[in-house]
Amino acid sequence: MSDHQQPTPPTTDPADAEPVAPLAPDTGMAGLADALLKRPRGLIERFDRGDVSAIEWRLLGIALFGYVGYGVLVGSFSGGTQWWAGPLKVVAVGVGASAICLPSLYVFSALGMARVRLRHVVDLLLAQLALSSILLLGFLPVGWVFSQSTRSAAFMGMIHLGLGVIAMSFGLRLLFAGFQLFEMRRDGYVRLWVMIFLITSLQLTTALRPILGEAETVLPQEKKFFLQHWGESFVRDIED
Amino acid sequence: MALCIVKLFADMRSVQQTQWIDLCRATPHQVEAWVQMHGSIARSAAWIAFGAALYGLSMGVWRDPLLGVYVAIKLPLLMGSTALVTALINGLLAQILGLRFPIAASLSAVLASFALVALILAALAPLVLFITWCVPGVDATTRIGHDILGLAHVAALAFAGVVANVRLHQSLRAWAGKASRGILIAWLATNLFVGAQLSWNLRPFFGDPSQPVQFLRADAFEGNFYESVWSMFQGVIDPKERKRHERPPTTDTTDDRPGRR
Repeated sequence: MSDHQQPTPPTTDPADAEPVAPLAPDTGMAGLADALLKRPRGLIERFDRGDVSAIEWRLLGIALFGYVGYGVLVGSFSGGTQWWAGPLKVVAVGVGASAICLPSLYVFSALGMARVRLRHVVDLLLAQLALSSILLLGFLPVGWVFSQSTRSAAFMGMIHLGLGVIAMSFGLRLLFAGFQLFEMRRDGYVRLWVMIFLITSLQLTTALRPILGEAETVLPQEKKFFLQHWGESFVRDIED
Repeated sequence: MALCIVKLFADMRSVQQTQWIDLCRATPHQVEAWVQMHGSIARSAAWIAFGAALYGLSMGVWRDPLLGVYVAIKLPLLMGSTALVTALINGLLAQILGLRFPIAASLSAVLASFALVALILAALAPLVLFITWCVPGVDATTRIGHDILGLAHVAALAFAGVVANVRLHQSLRAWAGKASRGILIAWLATNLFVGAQLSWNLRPFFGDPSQPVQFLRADAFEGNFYESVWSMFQGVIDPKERKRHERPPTTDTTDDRPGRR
């Protein structure tokens, strides 16, 4: 990791240059969802000013609602125990990967010279989770259409993976915007963290399998790397 | 000059309230104030103890939870003893090469760098524990778990080491100008030379599945790291030498739990 990277240039978006009033601390869930989509800077300003306890719980509520909703769609593919295991595992992937990677994000953002405290990092991660989950809810009809037209778990897995990555990338974009408002000068460390976070999330989907298909046990008996698992799933699907 | 003194004084005031995370984003001026401050050695040592113990625990736990506890003790010990053993020569070399710091301040600078390594490793400890959970255990028939974890540790240690040394070089450049590169190389060379030997004395850290769990190996103070490397080199180029150095299979009967051989 080079420390000789050029400092991140200031944003040239005129909308970003204007001062933005921080979001009110008592903003409801609908207002928060609206802010995440349209006015994320006001939300980040609120993180910086403090008095965010209520907002944190509501962001967590939005994230859980979105992940559970998407998990129901994922579980409906196989039915049976997956009706409850699917939503639980989708939540575990989203929240688990964030929890595992939280300490490294805190230290990496500090190495990038961001003026953050641990609570700021928790808040930004919650905002990232909430925005990703809102987008996943938006993808529900798309995922449902595909799930009605195939019985291939490997194919559906790829569809969910694609939708998940798109949703997560918007969440991570919000995370970067947040760190830039906290004066991060070197973004290489957080970019490296994003790679670690994505690999952790993908590995969690394998560690908690089956999330989509069927198996005799709720959790796997054999430990595998996610690329190995995907490869085997595709080969099995083609042979069937 | 007066401005510099005022700035250093202001930095020292801010350093007195320094928290561990501030070490990650400290400017060279703040690091200088830090290394000159009374009590900075003790504080760096405390951070090394915390960070290295956390990472040590995650490092040893794959082989056996008991080894995790052992490594949580040994890794801070390794970092602290390396800094102490090299303190005198590092301080002298720095003065010869152009850094007008007292020896205690040089030790403080090295310890601050080690503390940064330990803090980065502590932040990566949850990831290492997650990898430990995801790979096949020590009883598995393949070595893939051992090898994946080994690579993960190499990556984590290399990353933390590179970041800390880049930061140390930035500080040295502000303090000693062109002499900074020579000082960094001298410090790196002595730390690696001594650190390699001390890590050989304090092994095992990662835990070879074919060896019993021990705090120290029975031959911890027989031979040294460089002799061991030399005999490995001889073994590669001369198969007869390899046979002569090969250790007979362990006959230790104190650890007869299944899968512990």
